[in-house]
Amino acid sequence: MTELDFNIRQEIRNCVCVLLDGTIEEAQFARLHQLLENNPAAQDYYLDFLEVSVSLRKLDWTLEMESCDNGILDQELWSQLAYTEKNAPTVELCRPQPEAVPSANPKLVVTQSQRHISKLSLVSVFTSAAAMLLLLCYAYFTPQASSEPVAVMTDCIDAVWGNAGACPKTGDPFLKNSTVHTLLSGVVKIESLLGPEIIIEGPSLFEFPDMNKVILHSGRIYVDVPKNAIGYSVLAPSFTVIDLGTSFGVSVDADGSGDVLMFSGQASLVAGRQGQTKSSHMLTEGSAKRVFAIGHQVEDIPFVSTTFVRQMDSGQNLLWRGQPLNLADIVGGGNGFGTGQIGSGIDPLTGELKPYKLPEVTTSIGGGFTAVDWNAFIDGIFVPDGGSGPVQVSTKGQVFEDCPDTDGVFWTLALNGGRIADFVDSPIVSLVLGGNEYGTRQRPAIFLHSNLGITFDLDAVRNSMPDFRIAEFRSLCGISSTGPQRFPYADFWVLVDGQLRFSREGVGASDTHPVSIPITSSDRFLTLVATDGGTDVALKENNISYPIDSDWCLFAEPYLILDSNN
Amino acid sequence: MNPETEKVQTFVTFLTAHQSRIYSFILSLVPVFHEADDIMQETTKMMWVLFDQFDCDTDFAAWGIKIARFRILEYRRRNKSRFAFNDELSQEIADRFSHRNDRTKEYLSFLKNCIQKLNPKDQTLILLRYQQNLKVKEISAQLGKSVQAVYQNIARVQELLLSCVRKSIFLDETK
Repeated sequence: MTELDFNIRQEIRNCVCVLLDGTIEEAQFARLHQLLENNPAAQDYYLDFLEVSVSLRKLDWTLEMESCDNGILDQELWSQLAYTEKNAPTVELCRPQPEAVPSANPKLVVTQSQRHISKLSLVSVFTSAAAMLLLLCYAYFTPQASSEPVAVMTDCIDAVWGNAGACPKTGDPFLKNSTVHTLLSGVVKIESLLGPEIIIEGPSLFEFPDMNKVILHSGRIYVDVPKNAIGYSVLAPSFTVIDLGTSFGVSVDADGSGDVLMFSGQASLVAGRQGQTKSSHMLTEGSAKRVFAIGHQVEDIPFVSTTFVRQMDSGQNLLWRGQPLNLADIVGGGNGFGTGQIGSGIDPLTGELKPYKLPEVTTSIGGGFTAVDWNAFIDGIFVPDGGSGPVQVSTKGQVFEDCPDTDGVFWTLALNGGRIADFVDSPIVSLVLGGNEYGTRQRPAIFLHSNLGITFDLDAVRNSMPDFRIAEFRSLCGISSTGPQRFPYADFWVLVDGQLRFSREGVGASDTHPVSIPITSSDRFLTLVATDGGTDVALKENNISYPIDSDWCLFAEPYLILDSNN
Repeated sequence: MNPETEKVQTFVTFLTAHQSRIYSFILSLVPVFHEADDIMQETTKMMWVLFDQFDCDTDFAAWGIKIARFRILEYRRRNKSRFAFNDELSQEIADRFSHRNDRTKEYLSFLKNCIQKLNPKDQTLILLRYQQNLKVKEISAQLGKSVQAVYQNIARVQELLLSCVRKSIFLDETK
């Protein structure tokens, strides 16, 4: 059966959820009808999805779900938790994480963030206090705030407010012409009632004069504007950005200078104070400009895609600045953003997560495909041996057709980097490729000693991050130069849904090869494989060949490059 | 035990064991909960009326599904819903359904385990929807999200559960 495209599945399930309630609109029902007609795969998915809905309805929740009732159903507790998990640890994605306890659930965050407030930010806060005083005076003399809501806060992580009086909480509206809001630290997501989504990172000072604009006095803001809300504006002391169907980030310093980065679409940048236009510029995707407060000069600056928080989800303690998803981190029990354990990995025989330990035997006989059930992102692991028949690479039964004949044995776990020893009394060494150390938090790597293969479920990634699209798989493959130099000689393979997309055979110790594979929404399973290179170039002792010997294979910096879906 | 009581007990036993499959069939062709509930009720009544004609050595679910098909046609004629699949699509879906195995008991067990694996926010959403039976509008008011966002999140979480259950079935079958 053909694998259904991810986007079509998403459309079907969104339609079905609304339809089951009887609240669907005609156009949406017509679309569902069109998707299902003459499409057995779509019909099967539709029936599968209905089965979940029916079963959820059928569950005897009072008897069978007592272990779920750990305070979640307590109404008061729920109200407190409603998307504001203030006390939960947070992942700061821009910085290396301390060693963390591996979590069986890739979506759980287990590290404490290390808040780092730059000197510039502190200066901004203190100098902003003076600006704040002026603004408070302004607010005192301006007409009473209207009670008309113009935006609502929909999410926040570790938000600390400087406003006197009640601090905004998730679900609270922002009123037209209300006071200036002071976000001292943390990140909040606010939705304008016209549709644009705004992520503000503390420390920031901002206000909403109406539904169609936000004033950023200082700080950092990322705006995502849907097509039907073109014209949304960000007003800064020295410039204005007017959206033309786009997503962009704006940062404003204490002196009023600021930067604008265009992530998608177009916007108009007008330099100068309100009513005193100095110049106007068209911004397009991938461009960035700086406006100076003095003279309002505009210059091009480098576009750094990780400057702004572009997606956030307090439920997953996720702050995404555009970083790629780290597959090595996932192998180590993490969520792909640095929560995995370096030196932990997956047992090819059981699929379990374990810490690295020098193997007691030099080789172990592999089994068939083993599904990994503790981690939704990993479909399974296997020992590839084309000589023993078709090599299954996924729970959907896809096979690696061109898998070479191997010894059918493996050495150790598939690992999230770490340091490895050749045998019991040998030194424990780091992993090095092309002169660079890998297998660390800063430079991750999957240690995939031959013969091993591991398959990742891209749909599980998409489902856990619905606001993202997977654009590409990138890595560098090769054999660590710190491994034994007896006979390092292996083959590297990358498959998507069982189809070969990359291969390098006969890789020696000094070879490194970049891997770059575009990923589409219909691609489901990504498989990385290392095989032993055969017996011709292999360690031989007592007339026995050990083709896997010295094959310290690495997929270095194995990243899924993400893009925002908006 | 008198024959009437025995008949009731036998019917109830069969219905308890196979009701889920018959309901799933109805819902696949009439995917609106309250309408499927009505049709299920009518189907059950008719099955009871015709139970004397049922051969206990044959497939109760298949028999119930045949009756359900008539009730669905009748329901559509009476109600003239705008949201009804056309005859061709209805037949295609009915055919696909007939090829599916009935694994209700294990499915529910796998589903329970998979719900435990959800993160707290997703668990909360599912419990609000299916345990507390809140309408999506009520959930959206409580969570401060739009109705559309709540529907999309419910769909996303149910997809997570579907993937998890599928994996569990695979593991179970390959044990």
